[in-house]
Amino acid sequence: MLNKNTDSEIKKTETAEIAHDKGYDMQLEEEIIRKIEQMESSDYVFPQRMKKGNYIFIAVAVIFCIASIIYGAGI
Amino acid sequence: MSEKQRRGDIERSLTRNAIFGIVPVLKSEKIYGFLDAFLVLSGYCIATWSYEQGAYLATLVGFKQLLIGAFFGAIAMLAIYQLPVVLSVRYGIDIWIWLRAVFGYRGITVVSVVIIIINFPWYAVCADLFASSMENLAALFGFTAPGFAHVLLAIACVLIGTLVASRGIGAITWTTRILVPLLLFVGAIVIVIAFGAVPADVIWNYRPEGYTGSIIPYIVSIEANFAFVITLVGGMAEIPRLTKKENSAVWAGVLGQGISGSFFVVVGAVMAIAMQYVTGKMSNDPTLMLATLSIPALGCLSLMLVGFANIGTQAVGSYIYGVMLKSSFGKIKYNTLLALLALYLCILCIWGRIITYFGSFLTVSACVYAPLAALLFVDFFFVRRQKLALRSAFCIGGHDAYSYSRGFNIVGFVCLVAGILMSLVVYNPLSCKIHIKFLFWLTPTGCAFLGTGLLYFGLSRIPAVRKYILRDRSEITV
Repeated sequence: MLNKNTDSEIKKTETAEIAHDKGYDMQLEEEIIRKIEQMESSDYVFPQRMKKGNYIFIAVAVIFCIASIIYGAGI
Repeated sequence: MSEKQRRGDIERSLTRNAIFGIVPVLKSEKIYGFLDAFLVLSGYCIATWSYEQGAYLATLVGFKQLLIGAFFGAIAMLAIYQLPVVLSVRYGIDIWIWLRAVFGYRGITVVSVVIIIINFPWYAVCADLFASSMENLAALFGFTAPGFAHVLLAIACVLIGTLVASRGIGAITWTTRILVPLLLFVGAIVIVIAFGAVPADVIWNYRPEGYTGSIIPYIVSIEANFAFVITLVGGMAEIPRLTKKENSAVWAGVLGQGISGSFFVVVGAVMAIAMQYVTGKMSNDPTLMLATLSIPALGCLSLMLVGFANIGTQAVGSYIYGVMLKSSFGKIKYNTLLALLALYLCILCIWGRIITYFGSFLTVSACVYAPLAALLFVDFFFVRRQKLALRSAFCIGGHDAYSYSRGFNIVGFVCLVAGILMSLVVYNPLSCKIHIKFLFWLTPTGCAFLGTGLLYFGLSRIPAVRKYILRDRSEITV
């Protein structure tokens, strides 16, 4: 009897947890979709993008670093 | 539990998820400018492993070559492989969400677990060295720690770092805001002490024992710098995800690791060279170095230098890898993932042989990171051209563009394995044997990065492969 009660209590708790998890998963998915829809909307402003000049500056920095590494081989 | 409480719980969890996990972070929710992102990422890099790296480089090359490799080698590699963090700023997602497109939604779980297994021993090394330094410090004050104290100190480092990580990004931000400038200042003091204790030209004109002028040790040192910085690829996007501008995120990563991290590598090298000059033996333990080259009381500085630096690194590392795991195991709570990571580290600390086998861990990890970074780079810029099917990436019902072959992208895995083999074919890091000298000039990491990138790009040009990997194009909305 004691075992039965315990089992039933465990089952109740598990059911509540599963229901809670399902609720959580559903809400999580809804939240993700809501965020994606916000990004898709025409009035959403994305974070400031890297400009062409930034990419050029990075390329120049990489070339300078590689040139320095090659120079370093001779010292 | 009442309905109101239940909803409150869920809302709190969702709020935590925006920071700790998988929900995209919108522009209005981002918290970091360049400076904060730079400080957090610097805190991630400044750790005892920097001294290990510095001491290792000092066995290979002279001081001038060491400086060039540590700064320019690191920045060159970082500036290339960190560029895809712009995706994390733009879409507010981790790279591990994007990588679902490269490996498939099941494949990414395998890759992220492998990365954790091979990367986290770094943190056990930090914990171990933290324990050693604390024991040395105690010895300076005439107290001999009992044998079991080493493991307990190492575990304490892990647990305190994990505790800070569990308090969330706010605690980490404030920790690093205080800690990083302080550590950079203490690093500068160490340099001054070292240059004051030995003639400056001893350090400036230093050459390792048995120096022959051969180019091979120089290439090995550049490889060590490439491999050292590329190990951060797995956790490179968690901070950019919360950063407001793409430009800020890229430069915070490049400079946080390329300047702050490399500065501590140089500090480690200077200590090792100065210790060799004074004692005849290289040491990378700052406690010992400060006590030997200055006065024992200055060993207290190392308490700050080593203790706080390692705890800060542990905190940022636990946060970063907790979030990374959260991207693959969305249903497991963030704190549970942190506890699992801490448990893995505690087991490694109790095992106590991580330093002995660290070379093997490093060897395996360095072979995996370069192909991974190359796949992300080529996929983002040249294959998917900065566009991702977000619903499929988040496995929203009815959207399965990234299911590929039972959840695995075969092309991504073929390229990953090929990249690992390319690295091993060029150079065997266990036996230190060079197999293909011509390619070795590119360094094994550089070779694997270039080779994997070219292979993936080449395969993506084949119509059948292109159709297989780009089945998401009809679903692109942003």
